[in-house]
Amino acid sequence: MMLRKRIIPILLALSVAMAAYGISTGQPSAVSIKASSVCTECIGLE
Amino acid sequence: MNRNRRTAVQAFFTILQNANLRGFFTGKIYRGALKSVCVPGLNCYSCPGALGACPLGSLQNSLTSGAFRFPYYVLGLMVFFATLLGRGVCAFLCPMGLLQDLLDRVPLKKVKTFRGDRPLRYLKYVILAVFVIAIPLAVKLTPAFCKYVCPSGTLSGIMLAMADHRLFDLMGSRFILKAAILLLIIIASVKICRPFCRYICPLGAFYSLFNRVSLLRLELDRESCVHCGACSDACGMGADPAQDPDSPECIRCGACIHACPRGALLYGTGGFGASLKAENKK
Repeated sequence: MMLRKRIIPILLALSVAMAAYGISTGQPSAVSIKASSVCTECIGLE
Repeated sequence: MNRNRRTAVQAFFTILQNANLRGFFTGKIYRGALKSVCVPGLNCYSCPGALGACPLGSLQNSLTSGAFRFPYYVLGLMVFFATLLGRGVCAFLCPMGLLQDLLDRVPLKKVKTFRGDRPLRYLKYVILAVFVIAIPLAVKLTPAFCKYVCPSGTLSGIMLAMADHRLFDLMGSRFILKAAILLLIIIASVKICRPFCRYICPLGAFYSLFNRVSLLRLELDRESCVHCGACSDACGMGADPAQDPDSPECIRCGACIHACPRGALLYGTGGFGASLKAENKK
């Protein structure tokens, strides 16, 4: 229980920091570019 | 939480993540700003209704693109969801989970476990390591899980092709392979509770790694527990909450909480604040 209480804030802070760093380096736009066109691999097209 | 209420929550989040309803009729996917946001569950971004991006698809695409950049954004969001909910995402937020839960309601005798059930559960970790991480890293432009396995993408393809029939002409052997996997999952879901989540889903595998530390958890009052076995009988995922309430297989659906005659199981927050009040039938 004590370990859990320590780990949760660390993981939350780490994940927010990672996402924020990703946003600051423009990674969401790369996600958006890929996700905004039909993914032929995903839907099984040749 | 009883089953109908959870289904309502799942349906709400499925519709919320797929609110581009016009896409189902026009066969055109949403291309707005929200597409840069990863949703927590497995929801293909090529689904005609999808507003957000699939975390697994986004992760594979960032790993497989020519110039490698560590996927801080996607992984950060995935770790955030996992730390808050663990596999609770599977029970409440994932459209694939809703589909399997609806198929589980078909009134046929269910298979709780079978020979090979336990070892087969490790397959999802192998798929995570090989199809989501290793192959995309090793082979350029190959999001292997999306390409060869993902049933969410196959469903999206079928829905897109129903709106635009020309797509059917472009579907070949890879689509047949993926459609066979989807069909197998649909048939298995009628007899086995959530076979895709149990054996295949790499997103569930990722979230399961956080089940022992996630904020949302099951809390067991060991003094109240009489080891009657009602919780393990009620668990569709084959876990035994009385032995291990933090099992990686537990999706936090709450079936055990509902089944416990002594109210020994509760939703909790891992020591942060009070336990959430159980909705036990008493």
